Amino acid sequence: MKWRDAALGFAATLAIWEALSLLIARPVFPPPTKVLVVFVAQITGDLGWHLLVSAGRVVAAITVAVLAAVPSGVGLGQISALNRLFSPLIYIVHPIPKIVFLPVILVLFGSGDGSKVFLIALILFFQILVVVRDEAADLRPELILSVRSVGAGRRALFRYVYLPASIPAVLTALRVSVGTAVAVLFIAETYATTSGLGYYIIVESWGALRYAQMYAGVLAMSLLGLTLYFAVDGLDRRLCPWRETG
Amino acid sequence: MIQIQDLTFIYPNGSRIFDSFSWVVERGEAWAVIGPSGCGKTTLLYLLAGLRRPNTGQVLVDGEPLVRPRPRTGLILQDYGLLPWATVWDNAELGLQIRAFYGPDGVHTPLDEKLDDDRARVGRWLERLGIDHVARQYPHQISGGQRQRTAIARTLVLRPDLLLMDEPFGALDALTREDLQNLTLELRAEQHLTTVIVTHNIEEAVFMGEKILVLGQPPNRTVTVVQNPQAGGAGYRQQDAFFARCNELRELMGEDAHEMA
Repeated sequence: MKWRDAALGFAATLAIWEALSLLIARPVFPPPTKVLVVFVAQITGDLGWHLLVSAGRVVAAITVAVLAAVPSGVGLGQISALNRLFSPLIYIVHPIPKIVFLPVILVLFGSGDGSKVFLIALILFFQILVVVRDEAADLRPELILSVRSVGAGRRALFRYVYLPASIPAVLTALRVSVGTAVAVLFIAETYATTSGLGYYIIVESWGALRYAQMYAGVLAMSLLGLTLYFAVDGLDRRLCPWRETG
Repeated sequence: MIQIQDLTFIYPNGSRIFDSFSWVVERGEAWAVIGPSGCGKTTLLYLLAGLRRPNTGQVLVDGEPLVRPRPRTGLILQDYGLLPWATVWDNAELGLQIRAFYGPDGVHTPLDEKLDDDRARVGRWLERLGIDHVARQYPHQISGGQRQRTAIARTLVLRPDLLLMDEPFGALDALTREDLQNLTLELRAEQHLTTVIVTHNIEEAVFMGEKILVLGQPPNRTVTVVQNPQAGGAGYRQQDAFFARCNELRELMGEDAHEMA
């Protein structure tokens, strides 16, 4: 999607929102004008800080997930004995909604950033693992042999074949799972914490009946999701130019 | 250049491809290896490239037993050998990049390797092979002939003395194939290469191989060689001697098929 389309979509959303708020005419559904005023006032203060905290947690989780999932995925994809051993396990664990482990994770990792980062990383890990594994398994043996024949050992194969082959897989996995990651972050931030957009929306705003402020939080959360999505797109264009051409 | 001594190779599924097989290639020779599919000709090439290890016996290249791919051996496969995410230039430079990655360690990179004139070397080879105008393109954007030229560039940039090719022109149309066969012979003379080309195509074997190794249904125990000194000569493809040699080879391969049946 282009920035122009995004701006258009944003304007349309605002218009529908304005109309709905006039129709519903209750404090729980304030008009966007009122919300934007609060958003602008708070984004440089309290809201901005919570947004940064949430963004930091997602980015940390993405980093952890990618660092763990890429080597594991490549290993599973290229060593079929390993894949035979682990694929039933992945098959069973992959569909479990990881959010249900929140209570356990809170106990094990405490109520700080660690538990949130771990939960999101866990979700992303499986998404990335499966796509990278399939991508690595699809690499033609002729390609590996050619690269070995010009002198590549295990390290160079990873650097020049498996890593670049994994990048599009990682970005594809991120594109589909970044939304889920933000949603899960929201839930995780409403328990036993005093920072992040989830806390800001549920505890500081909803709990105190500050509806305009609550929507400002929703807006910030949408912004976070959208920015991550655009960032993945931008990385795709920069890192995988061969996918666009031809 | 190459000595295969008492080599036995058995696939994990139990099929015995070579059994006490011995074969010698002298420096500077141009060999073609031909046989029906499943005869083990690709396996033989991978053994020569150090990508497969024999069960017993050994492969010596330049007097050294082969335990891993040798830096001065070039390998060109039918297709799919190029990195799809790298441009023609980057593909041609790959071997040099890998050598720089390891440094001159004598294992992945020759000890006497000098990596200073890399870029100039890549540029010269792309120009020599007529693909400098597609240097910024990706493999899927160029023709099959250009892809094989890129694979040749990637290999020759590394200054090999032994060139192994597995059905290198099999996926190309007839004219492009002859064009690249001629180019390969030219480069062979120019770079003083020893060449082994594996093919299932009789005409290709007769045009490219001064000596032709004929493999039969496995296990291969004995070496059958057809001497073909006229190979590569200008106009050889149109001469009666060429057709006579093709027929000789065809009969030889047919006999083998009968024996097996």
